[in-house]
Amino acid sequence: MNMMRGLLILFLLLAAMPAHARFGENPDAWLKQMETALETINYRGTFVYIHDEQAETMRVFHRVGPDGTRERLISLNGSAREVLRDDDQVKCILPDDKAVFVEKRHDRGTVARGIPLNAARNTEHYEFQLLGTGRIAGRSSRLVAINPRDGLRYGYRLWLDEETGLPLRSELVNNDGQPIEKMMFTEIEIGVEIDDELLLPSVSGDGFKWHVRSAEKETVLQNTSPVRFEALPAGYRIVRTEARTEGEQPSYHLVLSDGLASVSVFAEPLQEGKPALAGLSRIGAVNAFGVRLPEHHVTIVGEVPEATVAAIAEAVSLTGK
Amino acid sequence: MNMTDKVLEQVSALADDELDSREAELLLERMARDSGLRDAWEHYHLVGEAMRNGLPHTQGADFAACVAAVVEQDDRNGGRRFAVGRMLLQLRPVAGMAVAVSVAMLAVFTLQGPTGSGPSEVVPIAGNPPATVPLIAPRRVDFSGVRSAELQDQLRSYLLNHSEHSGSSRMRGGVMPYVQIAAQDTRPVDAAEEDPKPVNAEQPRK
Repeated sequence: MNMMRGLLILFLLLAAMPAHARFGENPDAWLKQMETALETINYRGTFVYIHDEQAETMRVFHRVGPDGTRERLISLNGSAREVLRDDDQVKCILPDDKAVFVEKRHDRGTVARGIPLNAARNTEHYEFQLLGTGRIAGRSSRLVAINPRDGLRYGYRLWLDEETGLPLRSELVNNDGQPIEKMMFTEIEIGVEIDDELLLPSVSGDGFKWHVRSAEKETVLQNTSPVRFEALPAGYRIVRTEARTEGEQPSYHLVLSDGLASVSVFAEPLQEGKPALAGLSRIGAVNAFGVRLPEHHVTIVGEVPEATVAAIAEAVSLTGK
Repeated sequence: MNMTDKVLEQVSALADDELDSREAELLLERMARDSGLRDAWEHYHLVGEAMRNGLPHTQGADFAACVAAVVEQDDRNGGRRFAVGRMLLQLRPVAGMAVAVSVAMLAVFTLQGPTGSGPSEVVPIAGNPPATVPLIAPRRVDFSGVRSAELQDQLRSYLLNHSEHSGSSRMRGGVMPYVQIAAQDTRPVDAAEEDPKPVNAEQPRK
């Protein structure tokens, strides 16, 4: 009983201790706290997202509760584009295009957490530094810098809330240390109640074109896909393989990761008359590369440099097909 | 569109110099009483600042507070309720710039200007010289060099699927790259179309 009481007191003391006291000068501990904060803390706020000399202001509501994690993003510029996420699906509503995109999940709770970040194992390809302090949206923050050691991945600068570990500002930086994408909260409320209605879309999507990707036809494979790579860019490995059956032949989705960055490889059977990406394209910090194989078209998508998607495209093949 | 959206749209239009003088005066009167609208103005200004210079390393001047200070000062000086609006409108032809100007500049001008309130009452404000926010109708951000709407939708669907597995999205506030999917292109058309075209890879590689 005394031991239980001691553990309880220890837990309460730790919980009451601010993050900067708990995590000190260890960048890995700060990153773990960031992950924990994103999975356990309610917040709402406004942030500015900057890319390609453009800026976008967005409002976000993020709630963690018995019904899982729910989140709503609303663009404050132009039409009210919205993104709604929960543990079952993610939905994007684009009023200008009269379009709704829905991605349903088939393994609730697992994918919601995504590929685990594993900073400690990445020291071969990244350098981690805990730098100074800053003040973002009226809150004290600690700056964590993650610098890539080669040109095959981007780096990050993260300003983490000293009290909770939530990222208040972040920058994706190229190999030269130049930011290619920035996000910064201009105001944020942490640990607040978020009502149900704040998590509902403002438009129903009636009369819009719906692009729904259901989860029923997807299967997670254990390294059994015919997708092969002659060689992968240094540090990347396959962390997930899914097969999807809609027509006669399955399509495949592989996720490659170096522990921080991730790249998706989509392989679909060739279809007469269906347009497919040929070569390089990009959107924001995301690069995409399409390549046609004898019976499949492969599209590689990820927040990684052009060289990385191009190298994966060069190395990919499908066996026995 | 509800009332709030309409007023916010007016704030945006004011920032883009698209309101006539009467509408601008009425809106500025409303902004003087409504901290939410002043916050909205501040956000638009922050966006403009970010577009020009990138985000400041610190929060910098609190423009909303500056407006509030000016309004309070106006009231103390005999209810010059529309002074900010008048100065705003007077500045336009003089300075040859859009109304997307620094509120900081306005505050200084109002207090030092025609009424001769004197520099001792100037609200201390930092801020860069005002500049014009380009007046561009926003478009959806597309994958570069891809003309086919069907392919754009396909790539967007891939990106959405990828996002669900992306560890790096959490490194950037947990919301990327969903924001990229919902983002809009506000660059001039010429600049937006300078993106690299896909290389020709139509022939099977293997």
